[in-house]
Amino acid sequence: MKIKEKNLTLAQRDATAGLVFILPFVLGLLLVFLPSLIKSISFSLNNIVYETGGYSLEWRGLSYYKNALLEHTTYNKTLVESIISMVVNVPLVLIFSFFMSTLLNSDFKGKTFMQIVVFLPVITASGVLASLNAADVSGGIITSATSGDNVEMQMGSTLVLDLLGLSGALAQYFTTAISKLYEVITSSGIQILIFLAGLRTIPESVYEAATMEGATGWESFWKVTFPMVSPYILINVVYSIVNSLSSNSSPVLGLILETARTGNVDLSLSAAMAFIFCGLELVILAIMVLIVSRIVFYYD
Amino acid sequence: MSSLVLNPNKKDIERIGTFFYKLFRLIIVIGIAYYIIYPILEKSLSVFMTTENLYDKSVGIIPRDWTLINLKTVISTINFLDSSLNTVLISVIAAITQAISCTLVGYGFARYKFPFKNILFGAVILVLVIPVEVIITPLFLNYRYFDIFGIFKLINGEGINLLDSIWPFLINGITCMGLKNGLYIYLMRQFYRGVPKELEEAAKIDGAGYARTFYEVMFPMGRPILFVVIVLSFVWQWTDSFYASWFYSSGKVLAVQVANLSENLAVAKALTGMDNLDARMASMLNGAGALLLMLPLVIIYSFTHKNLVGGIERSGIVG
Repeated sequence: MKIKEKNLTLAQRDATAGLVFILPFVLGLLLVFLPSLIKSISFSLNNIVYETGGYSLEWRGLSYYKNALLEHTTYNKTLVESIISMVVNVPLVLIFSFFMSTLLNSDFKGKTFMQIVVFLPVITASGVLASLNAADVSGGIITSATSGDNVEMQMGSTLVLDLLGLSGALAQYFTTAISKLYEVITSSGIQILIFLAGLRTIPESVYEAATMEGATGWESFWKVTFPMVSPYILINVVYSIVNSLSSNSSPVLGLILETARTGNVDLSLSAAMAFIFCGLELVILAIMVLIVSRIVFYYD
Repeated sequence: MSSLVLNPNKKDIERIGTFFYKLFRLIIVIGIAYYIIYPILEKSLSVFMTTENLYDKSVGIIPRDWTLINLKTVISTINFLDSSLNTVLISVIAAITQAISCTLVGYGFARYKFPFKNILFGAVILVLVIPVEVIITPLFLNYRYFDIFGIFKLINGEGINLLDSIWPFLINGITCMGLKNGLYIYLMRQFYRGVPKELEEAAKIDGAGYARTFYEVMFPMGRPILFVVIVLSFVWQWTDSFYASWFYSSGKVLAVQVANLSENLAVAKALTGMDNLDARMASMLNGAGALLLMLPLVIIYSFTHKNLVGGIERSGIVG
């Protein structure tokens, strides 16, 4: 008996289902994101001539890109500043949030209080509130109490470092870490949340099995906790990098916006600057993802 | 017998270790709590101080004379009632649409194989990475002269103006183009990848199709993370002044009002002939604005934090 193969195979049906599920995103790409992106790219490659009723474009090729990198007075500097600040902050944030989430996952008195407190900065320091904090130079309420530029802070940390006998680059890193403490604590909220979510997906039974096999606390951490949490480490690395580079206080972004809105309004230059910046960010991310993916362990 | 006394056994060493650990932990907890709470407390309390108290060096963080006048000034300057209503509407719409769409998309990426999957996921990261500042001008124009494949243009010559309404936020939400949506998709994907395949297979054996499997099995499973996504998107949309200032230029959104507070205050004071706003005063009034903005969020947070931070269940496989 001949059976007509009119129906799709299972694999094909699966694929169609998958595509249907991600349809919202694809629509977004096509209707919203890509048109805007392409327009921005074209802005960066053309000079915008404003005419009555609209504008026209004069082709300029890569001249805006060259301008940004070679001629603009502050672009390169701010770019490097942003990246350095990211390289310093992200490891600190990751270490701190991982440490805090393991802490919050265990039981101790005041745990609920701690959970509330730690997540508070996410509410009180996001969006417009973050820029308000950053612009708060007066009365120095937040800044003076907690900044590392505080003289007492610096003397204190130098003392501690002398006692510990650290020197050179390591000491320098520690002083920087301490002076950024406030910044790190308040920007780790999301990461702590994500790590906590990851930690809680590990069933108790796995730990029990490990203890029965004779694993010490240290061993069960590295052989059980760490691998099971690794997908979330990847998310946090990506998110922390993106957040640090595109946060309200990122110097480069400030420069980009400034060029687009104030004084010498130059949309094309701003777009070119933005794309160079994004390109760099993507490269950094790609490298980090490749490195971190090697230690990520998926349950499937 | 003597060997037991002279040699500390493992248990004793462990006990001492645990004691120091607990001490260390206590110090850290107190230190971090101080760091986070103190600035917020100080800023919030300063809002209730009279102007004299503000400049009086002998007054610490607790006001000597309490007053509500600062709050009143700020409330009237920012059109509190109107702005709040708008903000609630926008934030709720954004939160719900984003949560649903991102879950669907994250699930699709996690569980199904289809052509271009990797490229499309790369696009997700791209959307997350590219700061909205870069595409905001074309995006704004897009919503100003909104058009789907030229249909509207045919009708009235230039497309429809969707600004100053909830439409940009609605469309952004449904299509996963909102604030930090790439993160939610990524989060959902990582979560669903960690769910054992046996659950879906069981559903399939019981005769459920794709939609049913998702709706009755996978969606409820993702509830804890879904909750996180809803709360996060609500909070971020609530405090966002960037999208709001572009898409809702009539300005009656809480975050935007707070952002523009200093300007608006200066204008108001100039009109009424009051003294100039100096830095300390401005900082305090900004603090009042921030307080008003934060307060609803903190209230919501106090009711939901148990679910948020403490409610992630174990995997659904038993035995």
